Amino acid sequence: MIYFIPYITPAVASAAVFRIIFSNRPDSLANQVSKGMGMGTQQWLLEPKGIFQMLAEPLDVALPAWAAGPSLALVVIIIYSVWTYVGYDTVIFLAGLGAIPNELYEAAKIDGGSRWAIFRHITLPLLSPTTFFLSLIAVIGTFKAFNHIWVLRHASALGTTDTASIVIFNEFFRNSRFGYASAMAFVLFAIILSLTLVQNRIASKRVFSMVSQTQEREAGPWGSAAEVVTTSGRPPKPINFPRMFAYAILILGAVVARCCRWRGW
Amino acid sequence: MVSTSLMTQGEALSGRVIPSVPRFDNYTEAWDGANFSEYFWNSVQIAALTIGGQVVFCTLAAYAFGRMEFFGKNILFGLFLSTLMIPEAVTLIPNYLTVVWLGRIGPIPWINNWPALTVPFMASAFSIFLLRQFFAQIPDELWDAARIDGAGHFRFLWQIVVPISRAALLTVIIFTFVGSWNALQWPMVVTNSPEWRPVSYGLSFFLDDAGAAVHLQMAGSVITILPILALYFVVQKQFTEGIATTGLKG
Repeated sequence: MIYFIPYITPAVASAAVFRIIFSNRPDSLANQVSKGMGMGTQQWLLEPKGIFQMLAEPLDVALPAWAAGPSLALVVIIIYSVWTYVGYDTVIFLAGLGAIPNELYEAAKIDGGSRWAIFRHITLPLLSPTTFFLSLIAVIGTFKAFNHIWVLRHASALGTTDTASIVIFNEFFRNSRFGYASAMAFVLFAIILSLTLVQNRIASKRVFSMVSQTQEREAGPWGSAAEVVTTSGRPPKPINFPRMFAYAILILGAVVARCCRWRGW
Repeated sequence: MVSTSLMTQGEALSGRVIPSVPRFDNYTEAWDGANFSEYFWNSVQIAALTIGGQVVFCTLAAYAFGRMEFFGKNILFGLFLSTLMIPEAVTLIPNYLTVVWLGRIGPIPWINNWPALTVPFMASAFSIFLLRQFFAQIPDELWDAARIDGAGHFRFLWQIVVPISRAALLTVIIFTFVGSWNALQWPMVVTNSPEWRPVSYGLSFFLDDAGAAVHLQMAGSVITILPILALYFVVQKQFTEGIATTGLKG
């Protein structure tokens, strides 16, 4: 259960540890590793340069700006996020794996399926609802990310690590530009909503569904994404997106009304 | 991390792995330097109030959603769940305005005070969802038996539903505790003096403050993590099961 610890430790505390591991001191842990691999010392969290550009530089290849990739500082933050979520995702995948009936594996073995074929044609498709749910959570979680980036960001990285949450917070709180920050929050919401819709569109084609084998269960109108993991073997009802969309619009309307009243319109 | 927290500053900066002599003084130094006693007490108070509120309000709401029939129940429940989709950054500003407004019309100021830090978290869609799923599974026979014995909804909830849902309630309590212990953004928005600031804020402030004192930073981090770790080891099973059955976090 050790692997679960990163997920529950306060983000500020674990980010502090990352800040020290990836500090720009020549003898920090990350720099010792990179020296050992013959890459010299790096600036890590203070480095605004894109990672592909940094890889291309020794080869004397000039990359256009769009191909420079995420800055090295952002890569460190990505490493942190992955490290945090590994435990969480493992637990959910374990629950999903436990739900796959054993008979399927036995049948496949009798049919002479190799380990790889069994994994490719049984485990992977049957896990797809779990995978879909986790990817949904990961996308939403990334857009929400605040605490660890707040600790890990550094002025030298020239804003290459700032996510939407950070920018909105800064505009609102530090620069006191309330209207601008509210507008950004709305754009963020619209983006997340459309991303979820796109993901759902893709998922409806590719995610395996066992509805025929299972009894329907009342799950609440939106329930399904959250239900995916609840159901041991019971797959989710498809997400009722038109309805969810309507709800989201309703809530948005309430928020707009609130802001309008505050501006005195 | 623990080993760095026991080093002297020189050792911590030289990239050593094991300290020559463990220095437990670092902990007391970090504790005093970051004023952790105050932040800790704040966090404990905030967590206790939030947990109390969550248990009361979410149980009642979940009971209504799970065991009662009323007009518009499903639509209302769907509305609740769709709030899980909305990122906090979007609701940050409206929430802040609401809290300021409530403080203006109410008897006590909310900003820089416990209501702003606890009341917004006393009901969460996640906890209601989790409890509702649990309540909805309780067999109807129990309810029929309680009716025959002359119990109403409240008696049934208090004497039967709550005792058999102890596991679900414990999960809610744990999630709420972890959530309120780790909170950083919201406390930063609604406090502007250290009076009510929680431990996450204290640590992030201390990290900037301590500068090069890596060993003290690590000691501070260890102090912050300890309560969560202790809780985690006590209720580990409960915790991972809570996540595995709902797939959500608070």
